[in-house]
Amino acid sequence: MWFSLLSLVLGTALAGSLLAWLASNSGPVVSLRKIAKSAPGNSDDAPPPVQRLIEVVNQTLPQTQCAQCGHPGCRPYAEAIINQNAPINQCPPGGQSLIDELAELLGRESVPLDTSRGDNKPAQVAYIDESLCIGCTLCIDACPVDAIVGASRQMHTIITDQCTGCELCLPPCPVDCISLEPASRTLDQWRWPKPVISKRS
Amino acid sequence: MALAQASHIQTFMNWLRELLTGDGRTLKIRGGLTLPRNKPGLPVDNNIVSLNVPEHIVIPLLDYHHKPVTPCVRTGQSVSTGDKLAPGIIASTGGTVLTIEDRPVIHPSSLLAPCVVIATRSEQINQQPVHCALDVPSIARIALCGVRGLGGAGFATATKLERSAPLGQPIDTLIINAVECEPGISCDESLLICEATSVVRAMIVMMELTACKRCVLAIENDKLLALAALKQAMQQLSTLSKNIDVQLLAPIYPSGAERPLIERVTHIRLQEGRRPVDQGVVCINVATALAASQAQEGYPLVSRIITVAGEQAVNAVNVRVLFGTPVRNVLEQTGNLQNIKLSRVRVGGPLSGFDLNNLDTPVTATTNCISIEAPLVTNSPDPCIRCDACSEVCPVDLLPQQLYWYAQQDDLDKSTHYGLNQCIECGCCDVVCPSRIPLTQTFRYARSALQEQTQAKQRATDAEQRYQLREQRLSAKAAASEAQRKMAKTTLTQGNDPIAAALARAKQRRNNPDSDNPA
Repeated sequence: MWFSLLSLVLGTALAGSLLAWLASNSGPVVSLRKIAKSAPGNSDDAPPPVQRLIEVVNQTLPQTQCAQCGHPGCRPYAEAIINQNAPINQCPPGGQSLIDELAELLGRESVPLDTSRGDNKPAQVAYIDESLCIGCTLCIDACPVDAIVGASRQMHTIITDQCTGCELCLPPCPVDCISLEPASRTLDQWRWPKPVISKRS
Repeated sequence: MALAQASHIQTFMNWLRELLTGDGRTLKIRGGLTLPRNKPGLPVDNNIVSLNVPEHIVIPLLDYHHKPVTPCVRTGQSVSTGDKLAPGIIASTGGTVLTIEDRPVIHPSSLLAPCVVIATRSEQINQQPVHCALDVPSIARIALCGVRGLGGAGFATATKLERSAPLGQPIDTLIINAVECEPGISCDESLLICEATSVVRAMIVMMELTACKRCVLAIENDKLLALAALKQAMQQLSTLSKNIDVQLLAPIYPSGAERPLIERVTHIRLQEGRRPVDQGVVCINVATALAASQAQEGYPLVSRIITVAGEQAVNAVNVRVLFGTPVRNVLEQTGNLQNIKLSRVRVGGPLSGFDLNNLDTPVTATTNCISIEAPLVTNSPDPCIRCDACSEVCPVDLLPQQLYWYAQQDDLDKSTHYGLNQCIECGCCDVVCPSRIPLTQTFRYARSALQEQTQAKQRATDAEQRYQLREQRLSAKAAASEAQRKMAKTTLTQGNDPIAAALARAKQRRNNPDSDNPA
């Protein structure tokens, strides 16, 4: 008697799991429960070591290495922000979005960009007018990311892909043959425009 | 052993599911739309018309990611059909390179891209068989012949097959995709009807090439003429084609999209970021398979079939067009150029395509359809009423309304979390949305924003690395010169000062003029 009962229960369980397996084939890729469970939230750990914090701030900075912030590069600025409590609004290439991001990251107040350091400009790239270049190598020494190739008394040129548009090559050039132009948009960098939705009253 | 057992269980389960669901061999994708098939402006017959070679052809120098590639030909150079113009790009006909300059290309932006312009020779050259090296391995032959995916994405077929057997991952299932689900496109259907025997032969070649266990031709169940032609061809080649299954699919858009199709045919759900080949599946468009098999005999891929159709098309027809032919020329030769200014020319189907801004753009491997539609009247969208119709039709099981919420707020992290990268941009959600919200457009925007963010991050990392290396180099240099100075100083202070020694020698000479000669 109990044997038949047991076999009935087992058989039902087996059939149930089979049906469940069949149904699971059409389950959603992103199930709501999964999203709710793994919703991104900041896990408040113990305060990270200073070095790691500097690393995080450095990764947030745009790495233009333009020194407009008054520090010789992005990493020194990150170190100053953490170690010397330097203001977070000194980076013109990062602009307001960087300030907001840093403010959220460090728990400081978001302030407007300090425009005495410079204005936030769209992405730009340096160009050397090769007919004017005399090959003095002064710009090569000035470039913080080694994006200029050339040799003494040979024409110089900019590796466009590696230029950060920091403008540091402009002052040393004795013949003013370097100009900054807006970074050209090639097809692989093109992005779809955001649909404009007019608000209805 | 365990694997073999698992595959037996899989087969049994498939059989059981078919038995339970009762729809036999016709598969249905999840979600999707049943769209009207016989709307006005479709080709009346299934003939393929060959067009004349235009005076000039324009070949864009762009790779799969639309990144410019460096040409390996010069202005004035003579080229013949199948010659390499740049890595991965071949000349579609013989002639002289007229110029290499920036020209408009088929792309949703109106940006220019570097192109090779070839003045074609007056005599017909593209008919003659070709010289592509036959002594290279079969996959390299496909690469040499410039075969790319003709289904829509244009991915290099050789790259796709490289990762499969015999070198890489063994292939379980080869899916030949003849599901042309977007209404209005019939180039693959006409190819099947006109060249069924070559298609079946091509499938046999592809089976050998990928060393797959099973080959499935996926096709919709309402393409009766194509099915009849296929059946006849398979009967003719019955000894060779016995391992080919024909898998019928319900005519639902977008059954032909790679991921939903693979999931339906093999019951394998691909995880995000994984390629089908990682799971032992290769999915190839039917025309691509034909091109790849022709590449085995040394014929390069230089043309494709394009459906010219649309509501305002004067003469809807399937045409075989040489790559690099300007769209204007295609329309002119098919007699569709009059009154074109009043219409909207769309490339790549009514749902998944985009409007073309310039008719002088050249046809490429991904141009499957040119449709001539009436100008669009857009009403501004209403707010979302949370009807959930978009989630019901989504073939990859996303939640478009949630995704839209985050995408339009530029919250890319949350968008990624809600599967932004899995969106196949099929446009089903746009069609059903009662508020006319531009969902797909927003997802495209968010996706390209995400791509740009990744690119910017990569550039920043590179710049940082270069900055660090420069700092290291400069500090090493400074340290070296400091060390040199220090050494000079110690030499001076330790008494073996060369200047003092010279002075002493001079003094000695002055005192002792006779011993002037040290020798």
